[in-house]
Amino acid sequence: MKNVLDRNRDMAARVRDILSARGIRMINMISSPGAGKTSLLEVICEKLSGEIRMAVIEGDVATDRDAQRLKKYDIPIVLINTGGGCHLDSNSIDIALREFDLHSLDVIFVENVGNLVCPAHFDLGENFKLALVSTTEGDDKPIKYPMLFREAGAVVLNKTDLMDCSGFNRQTFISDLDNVNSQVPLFELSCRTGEGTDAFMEWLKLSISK
Amino acid sequence: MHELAIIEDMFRIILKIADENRLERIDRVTMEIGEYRQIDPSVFRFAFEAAREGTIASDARLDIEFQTVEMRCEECGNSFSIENFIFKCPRCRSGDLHIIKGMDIFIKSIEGE
Repeated sequence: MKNVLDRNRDMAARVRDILSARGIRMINMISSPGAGKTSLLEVICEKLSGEIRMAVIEGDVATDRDAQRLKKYDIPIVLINTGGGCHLDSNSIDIALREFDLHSLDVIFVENVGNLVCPAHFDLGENFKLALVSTTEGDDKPIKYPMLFREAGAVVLNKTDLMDCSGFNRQTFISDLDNVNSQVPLFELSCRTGEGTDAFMEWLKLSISK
Repeated sequence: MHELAIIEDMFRIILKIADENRLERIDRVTMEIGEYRQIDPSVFRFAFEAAREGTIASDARLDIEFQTVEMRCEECGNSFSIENFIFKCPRCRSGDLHIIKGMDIFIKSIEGE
């Protein structure tokens, strides 16, 4: 029997080999549109770009708006426009890696296409997937999109400053997440106010240096 | 929507196998799909029908067999099927689980002449 997923998996293994040979970590950031992937990257750039050499692969269906927002941090950015495609695959990452000087990087953040379903199923060769959700999307995301939360190596809940006015039930969210993946670390923060971001940065620094 | 990308890779494989086996026509493709992959059968069929146009599989029938997700508990060794996407051992409630079955998308068989 032939496994249809082998082609993507084989290329992901190749990407993983290329990166680990150079001691580079890769983090695959997945969320729905508007949850705050680019905002979180802005916070990461502000807090960590002085001590960690980072680059970003921006996956977008169209436009370079997210890449433009990160330009001011003076880090290497490669933009992949999927032209309607709903996820990035390992082949597009393999091609994007050729644009970087891999001798001068500690970590690559991949901002996947905004989508909670498809990106969860395509290994890019990352060290882990970071699932990002925001309080304004509702508290039911872990149970409605279980595979992303099952696959995630870390979960970030953004926009905690809006929790009260969005009617987000934190208990429901935590209990559903526990049913889907009881072992994943959860970070609750607000990119806008900065609340909770320090704890996440400490954890991120540790996971990058591992 | 990931059904489209999966169908593309599936066609790359079935056309290659047909070529290697000198098939002039593919009549039936049987897929074994793990439920972990969240494949919507109607989207998958729609993508299959679009992809088969103009190929030697243009009249091929698609059969799909879904495979339930099976896990093994690393705490107590229990093996069980996942229901309602609750990833907890029904015996000891541990969440330390290892997937055994149901995460792959196999081409089980191809029939043709």
